[in-house]
Amino acid sequence: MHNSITLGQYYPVKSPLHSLDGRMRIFVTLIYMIMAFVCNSAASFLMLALFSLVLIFISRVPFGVIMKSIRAILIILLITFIMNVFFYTSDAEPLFEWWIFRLYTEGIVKAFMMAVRITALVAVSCLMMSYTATPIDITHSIEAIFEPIKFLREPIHSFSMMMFIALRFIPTLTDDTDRILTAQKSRGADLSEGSLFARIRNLTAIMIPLFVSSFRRADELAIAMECRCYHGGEGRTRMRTLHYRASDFVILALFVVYAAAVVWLNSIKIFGY
Amino acid sequence: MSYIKAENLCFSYDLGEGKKKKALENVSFEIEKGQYVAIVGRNGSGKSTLAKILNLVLEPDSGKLTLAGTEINDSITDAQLLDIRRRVGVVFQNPDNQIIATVVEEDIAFGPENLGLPPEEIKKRVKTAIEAVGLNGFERSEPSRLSGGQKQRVAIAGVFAMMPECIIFDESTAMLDPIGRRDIMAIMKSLSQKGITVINITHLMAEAAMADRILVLNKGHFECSGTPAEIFSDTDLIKRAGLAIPQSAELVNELRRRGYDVGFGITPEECAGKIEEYYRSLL
Ligand SMILES: Nc1ncnc2c1ncn2[C@@H]1O[C@H](COP(=O)(O)OP(=O)(O)O)[C@@H](O)[C@H]1O
Ligand SMILES: [Mg+2]
Repeated sequence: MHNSITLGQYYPVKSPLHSLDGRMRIFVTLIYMIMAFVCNSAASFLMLALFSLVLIFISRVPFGVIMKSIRAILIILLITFIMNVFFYTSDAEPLFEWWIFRLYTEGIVKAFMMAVRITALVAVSCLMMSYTATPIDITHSIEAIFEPIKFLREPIHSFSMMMFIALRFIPTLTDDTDRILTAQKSRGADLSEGSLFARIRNLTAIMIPLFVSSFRRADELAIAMECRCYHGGEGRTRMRTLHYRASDFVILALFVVYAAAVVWLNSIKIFGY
Repeated sequence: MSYIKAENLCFSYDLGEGKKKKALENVSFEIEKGQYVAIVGRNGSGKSTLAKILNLVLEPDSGKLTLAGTEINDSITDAQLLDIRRRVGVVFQNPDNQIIATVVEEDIAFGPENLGLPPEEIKKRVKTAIEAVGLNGFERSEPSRLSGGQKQRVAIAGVFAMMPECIIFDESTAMLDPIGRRDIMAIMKSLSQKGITVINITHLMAEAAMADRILVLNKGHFECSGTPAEIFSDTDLIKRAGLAIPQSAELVNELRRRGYDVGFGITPEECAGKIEEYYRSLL
């Protein structure tokens, strides 16, 4: 039932990206994100897109699975594209003019670049942080990064445990929502018709049972965790120890080359862009 | 000395505004180490409350509780508390609310990780636990994609990996289909054979019949305890506690009451055997 939600879903295959050490994972993903914002020429955007495809290829996660996460942001993508195209102003000669609208070639190119940037960022951060890594890997690595800073240890542990549980419960709560929706519909609740106000009011018929069930789940989970001797991060060990492998450094090298390429390509203009 | 000793346990839930809801009243019983015990009682009779008291998640208002030779009172240290929670594990009813991780083996490792064991030891225990519940091959699976029975086995393995002396099952089969239920009952049996004290909280008499001993709770009171044969031969007692007696057991009870000495039985097969035996003895 929860297949529609792909956020926070591990795709279990073996690849160098799956076995990447969690700390390295966070580091290279940061490099990737920063460079995605540094891109400003057509050539460097091409590099960004190409490198993203290479990463997807290395990960052995099917392209269709990645597309699902992009489909989720399609509306946002469309809105930013339109905004960027229509609200771009420049002193240059407009490409097209009608009523109050003036479209510029540069505006279209910029909007296109922005779309590529958002798509690439979403695809690759989903790839690095959820398709190829479990939430436990991520939270464990965040804890490991802050490990040396003593006074941050406990708050970071609590925070990452919270994040972890929130992610873990997304599919469960999606199922709950489906169930409540069906139950309320079968009792005659009409959620798709009426004025906006009526629809919002009807939504409470979904939200209230959902809150009640989430609180009950949270309560039971807390008790189950206590029963299994959970007592915060102090004195807690991990089954999986973090250690860097040779392949991790190959991946790092790949990201460094990508970063250098972006910087270099930023200075090369194709047709002035 | 008995492994679990409860004397006059009382517990009420605080409902706020000074209101209280009594859940347990003067409950006393003893459980020996390695015994397979069933606790039965209708809904709201205080079974889950008792399970949480035995695991030290709830603290009784009054009464004396001794677990594994340690008397539980206000002076126990945090280390002792953790030690008792390790020794006495609980498997709850809803597997979705007790599985913490998104990968089977990582969930099983959660308990041992909290105990601060070295990684090598944790791996060993996870492996043993997976074998004990028969989940080989599911190590890297996502629990949310498993069947109810498999999820519940993950939960059992999670408790088992802490090497407990006692495991309490709080209606752990209530949400399962007959096959899942049968699997979990088989695991309880094998855990019991490994020397673990098994406490199965249930309202299904067929499950209770598999235990060495049955404790009956009724509206927060301890009603009585005895072997399955003793409990099931008393139709009135079971009806008074609001439980459904298997029809086959009721039949042999009724026959006995009318002067036919057929003995005791619970399952239909067993009762049929008893009646046949009695019939042959008459010929
Ligand atoms: N968290 C709670 N707050 C208030 N009352 C509760 C709570 N949990 C259980 N109770 C009440 O305590 C009594 C015993 O409940 P419980 O131990 O869950 O029974 P059982 O597991 O046998 O069904 C019931 O009457 C129930 O309504
Ligand atoms: Mg209960």
